[in-house]
Amino acid sequence: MMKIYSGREIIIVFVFSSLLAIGQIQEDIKELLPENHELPGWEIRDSIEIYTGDNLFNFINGGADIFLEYGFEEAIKCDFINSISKQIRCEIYRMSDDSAAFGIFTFNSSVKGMPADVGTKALLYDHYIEVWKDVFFLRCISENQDIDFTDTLILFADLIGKKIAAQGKMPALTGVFNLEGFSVEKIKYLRGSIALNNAFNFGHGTMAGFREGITANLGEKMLFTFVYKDDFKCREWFASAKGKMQMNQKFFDLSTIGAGFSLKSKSGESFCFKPYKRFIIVIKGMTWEEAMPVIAQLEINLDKL
Amino acid sequence: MTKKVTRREFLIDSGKIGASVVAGSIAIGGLSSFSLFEGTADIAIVKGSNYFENTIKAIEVLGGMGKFVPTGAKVGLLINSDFELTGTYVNPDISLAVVKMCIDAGASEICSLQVIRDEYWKRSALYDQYKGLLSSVKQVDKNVFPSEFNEQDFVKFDKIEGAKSLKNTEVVKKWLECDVFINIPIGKHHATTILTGALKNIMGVSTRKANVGFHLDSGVRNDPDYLAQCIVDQHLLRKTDLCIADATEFIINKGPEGPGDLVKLNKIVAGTDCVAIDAICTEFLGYDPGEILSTVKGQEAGLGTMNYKKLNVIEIIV
Repeated sequence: MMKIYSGREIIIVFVFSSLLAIGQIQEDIKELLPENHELPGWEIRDSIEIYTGDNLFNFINGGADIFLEYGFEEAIKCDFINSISKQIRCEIYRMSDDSAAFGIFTFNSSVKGMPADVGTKALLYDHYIEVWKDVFFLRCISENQDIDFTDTLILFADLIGKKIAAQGKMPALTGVFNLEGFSVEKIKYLRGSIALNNAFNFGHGTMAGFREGITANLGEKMLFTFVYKDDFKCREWFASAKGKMQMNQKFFDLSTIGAGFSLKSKSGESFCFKPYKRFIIVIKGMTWEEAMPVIAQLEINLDKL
Repeated sequence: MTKKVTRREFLIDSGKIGASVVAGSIAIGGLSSFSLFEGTADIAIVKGSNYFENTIKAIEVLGGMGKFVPTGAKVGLLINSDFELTGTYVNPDISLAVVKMCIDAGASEICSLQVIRDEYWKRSALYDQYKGLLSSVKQVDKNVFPSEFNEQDFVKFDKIEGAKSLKNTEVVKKWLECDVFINIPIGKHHATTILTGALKNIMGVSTRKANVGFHLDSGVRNDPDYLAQCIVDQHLLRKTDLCIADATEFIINKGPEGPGDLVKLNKIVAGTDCVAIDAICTEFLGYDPGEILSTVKGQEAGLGTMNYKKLNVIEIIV
């Protein structure tokens, strides 16, 4: 029997959906999980576990720091089991904002991931799928690696993803790498030194103090842009980085060029560092002459932020 | 000095000394064909797909388990077992081999310093063959993630002699009481420390509260420098007598829990120098040992040398 809704009910539903879509009302993280047999044949194995704040250390055995660095709010974990006792684990992380969720998604991304049409962005790996949508990062893992559960993983992720109303926006900083004539790949959005050290280690504490950053590959070369609170802080951290690079035995041949400097690593790679307003641009794998056209484009793009 | 010995070279050399070698393998408990190297190596690396036998070979290259476990000794094992995905935990064949060697050496007690779940052992294809050995392995039942302090199983330290950062900790009593401490890590990626291996595995003997302190107590959240120093400081409480690191198959990103990209090297690395073993595993991971703060600080603290090339490293390819 068709239910006839009143005008008031329709308005309430419309307003609620609109608020969800613009992020004014938080989805209950528990509600995002598939229910028993929502995916036919799969039911919740045990209890659902929820973790908030620093309690994440009791959820992730050793890997909580990176989530906390990006900005972590809460996480939920649930194992699903089918009739032949095969399991799929779903983990949903609510991050502090959509950039944080995008960041942890990019941090975890690797070249082995194949794009999938789930959420706002998704990568499918051999036995798991990772998805970014709005303020959420989610991961569904097949715990039985002997069976190909690819389709089921996608279905689980899609069920969860569809319950998240908003898409989320990529950080504005990602636009900086829209470079004419260059094709960048493997973009990773950074919120601190743990993520940076996993992309490239400049030496402990060398590139620090930034509010956000971004890195990408340009073939074998790497681009970095770091954002500081203001021009002054940027200059302070730039001077600190220059001093630390000079002292670091991994690098040599430092030359000051205008406001920036270049140097080489012992493995023979060239590095260019240039401050620009409240940003520091670093290019790994190019001489200063090679880097100049890229830096010029990056500066134009940074002006648009 | 690193000496690589291929199976072919090994067979030739073994022939010279008249040892009985069949298809590059040895009979467990019989004449050790690896007596060629016995006692001469600081670090043994054995590459091959039979992890159980290769673990035994690695220890024989170091001089045999009897060199580390005297008859009647109480042995504490710290096995990084409490993860679920391939490449994140020590292959159980390696752990089974260690248990067998300790029993054969005449250990009076073998105690796992952390809880090892039955599922872990059952992942081994050799489980049915060797499950009888596991009844000899006691465990600290309360040291299970996320473990909490209790007076019976743990001991608190409010001061660690020589520590630079670690002000206090809570560790498993058995770790300090055992005669022989065998550290069995997997060398894999860790987001904060890049490598988690021999040195970082020591966080397995402390309570969750203590470990969270390693991460958060510096006053600066997520401080890798402080974390690395705390790891090294905790090692000052007790020396590792033997370390056997799993570098057979491990994640190179998204660690320590994974899932991540896997690399399969089929290598087992054994020795007494945790810093050197971590340096080797760091290179397997694709990083320079000098980039790993715990390795650098471990060397500074005198726990070993990251310049493993100065040691006598014997690598055997089976």
